[in-house]
Amino acid sequence: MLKSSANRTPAIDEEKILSEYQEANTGKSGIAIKALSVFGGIAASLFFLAFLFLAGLYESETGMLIFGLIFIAASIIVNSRFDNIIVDTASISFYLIGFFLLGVGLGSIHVNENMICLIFVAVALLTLIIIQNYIFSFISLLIINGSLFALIIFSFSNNMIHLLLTMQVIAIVYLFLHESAFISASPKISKLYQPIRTGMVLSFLCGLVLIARKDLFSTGSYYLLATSIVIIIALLYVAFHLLVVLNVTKPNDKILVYGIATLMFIPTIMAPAISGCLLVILLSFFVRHRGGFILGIGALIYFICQYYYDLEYSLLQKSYFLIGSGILFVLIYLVTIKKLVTNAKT
Amino acid sequence: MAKIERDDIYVISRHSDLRKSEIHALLQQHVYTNAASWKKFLRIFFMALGVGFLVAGIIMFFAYNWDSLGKFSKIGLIEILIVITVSLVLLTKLKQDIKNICLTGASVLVGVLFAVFGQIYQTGANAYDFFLGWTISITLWVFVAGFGPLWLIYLLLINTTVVLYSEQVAGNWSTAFVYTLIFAINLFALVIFVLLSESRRLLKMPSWFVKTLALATVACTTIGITAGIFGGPDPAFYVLILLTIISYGAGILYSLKKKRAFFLSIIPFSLVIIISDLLLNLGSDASMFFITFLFVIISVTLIIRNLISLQKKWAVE
Repeated sequence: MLKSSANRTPAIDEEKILSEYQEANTGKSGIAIKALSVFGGIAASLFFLAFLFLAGLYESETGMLIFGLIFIAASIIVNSRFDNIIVDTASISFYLIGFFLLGVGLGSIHVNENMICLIFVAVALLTLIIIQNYIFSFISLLIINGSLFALIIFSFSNNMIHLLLTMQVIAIVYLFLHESAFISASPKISKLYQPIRTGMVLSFLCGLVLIARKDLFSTGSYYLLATSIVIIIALLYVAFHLLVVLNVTKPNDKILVYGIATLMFIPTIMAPAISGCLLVILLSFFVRHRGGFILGIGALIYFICQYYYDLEYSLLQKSYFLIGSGILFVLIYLVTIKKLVTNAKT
Repeated sequence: MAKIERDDIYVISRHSDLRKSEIHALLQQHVYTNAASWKKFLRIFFMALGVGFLVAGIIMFFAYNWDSLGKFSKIGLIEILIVITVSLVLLTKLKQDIKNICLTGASVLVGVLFAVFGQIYQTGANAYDFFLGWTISITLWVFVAGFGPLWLIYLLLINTTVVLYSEQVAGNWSTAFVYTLIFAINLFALVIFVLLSESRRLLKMPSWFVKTLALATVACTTIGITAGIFGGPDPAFYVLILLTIISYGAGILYSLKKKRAFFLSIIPFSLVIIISDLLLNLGSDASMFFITFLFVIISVTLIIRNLISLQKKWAVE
């Protein structure tokens, strides 16, 4: 598979490229294989955990702590030394078991839950720095975000979630739209890019679930509004990049696009979950990231269905919001249809 | 020249000194969505959001208002909406995708209509005949449209009807029989769609649809066999096993012939789950869990290894 670079003559190490293609690494990029190894790892670790507990490990607090740390460290070391599939599957499951044992062990010696979350974040962060395996990095990122969410829940500072979500929005937008910056940085960062990007999207959508389920988790309305505004600003930024792709040059058209981008989200201003999903969908479509696209659509459907059970507004108000949004979108469609079709013919 | 994909750009960038701007240009040219795709997407995006939000809003509106409206206005309103949406499909010159979305909206509205009818005349919650009526009414539309999401809704309705029927009417059907029936129905649909995708290009369904259907079908039988292992013996259970063996074998042969990895990943994974259940059914002490753990690790590793070598073999051919 020879490639021809389109422009000036950069220095390309062809031999190394060919050898990387021949390694098993390139086969790993299929999503079916990734999903299989994650599920296999989780299933295997559950079974191993059951084995350990049935064999009496639960009784010994220090035993759990030690085993936890050993498993985490061992899985990282083994995975960085050897690079084949058996090692991958087994090390993922030991990594997960390690965290679980660490958590239970720390809990049983009465360490504060907030402290446990911070320790998890630190360990996962170390993993990200030490090893750049896709699955490890992906799971480590999920552990970091998950522990931060847990930290917010345990310390009863619910409103902080909006700060976390805002940071996630900024991170996601930057990650998606500045892919080349990350890839052209060091090889380590280039390898970390994809798992971190997907992991952030997943964590963000899960975080949105927290603020959408107001029965489980309540936050102040002003903070909700703030998050919503951040998402709308992010969408405007995406629109800005989109203008370049669509080759929109006339100022009137530009204003139209920005106007639409803002107007679209006025009805859902108090439901940032929905605008958050739309942001993920648009970003994923922009860079052709299929996983994010599907996750975004699935989450959107979930949030709209879940909106039914939101007790903050009456069903009548909610139906008006939705009908209003629906009509707005149809209007936008009718307004832009000419531009979206006639230009395609040229 | 082969098409440049994202992974190719990653590999190249790691072993060369391509600058950030050059990588960005490469990505834009070969990977990122272009203007034409964006325009098509935005058309569908706005219309789908519009129709989706409208339908959701209407459903909630009726949920709120049903006490104050009279019988005729309620049913009449929904019927008018159905007529409007179907007229949009038949009488206007909208794009095919938009029309399909409208038809899907109309199909959901049919369900709303029957639901309201059921509420007025108190036919009972979740009555199977509600779903049956809904399914039958939209059958013609589903077949004519050939639209992925609509077919998914339709198959979901068929499954729901069968399950509810088994709960409410045919109480003497064993659990294993219900699982077998559900599996058979989904399998039948899957085989039809796979065969269709081979023979006539016109009726080709998108691959995400076939994959989702395949995933659901495999899940049916996995859950069914799991339930059968931990439950008691049952004649229907053996039918399920037989059907599963035949279909899994056919599925694997098909994937090998057509060089598609998807079935080859979900079928073995389902087998791993089933064998794990068998192992755990033999005993639930510590050593059994350890054996199961080893089994899962080794089998998943072998599956992945074989998949990768197959993929490499196919890439070369």
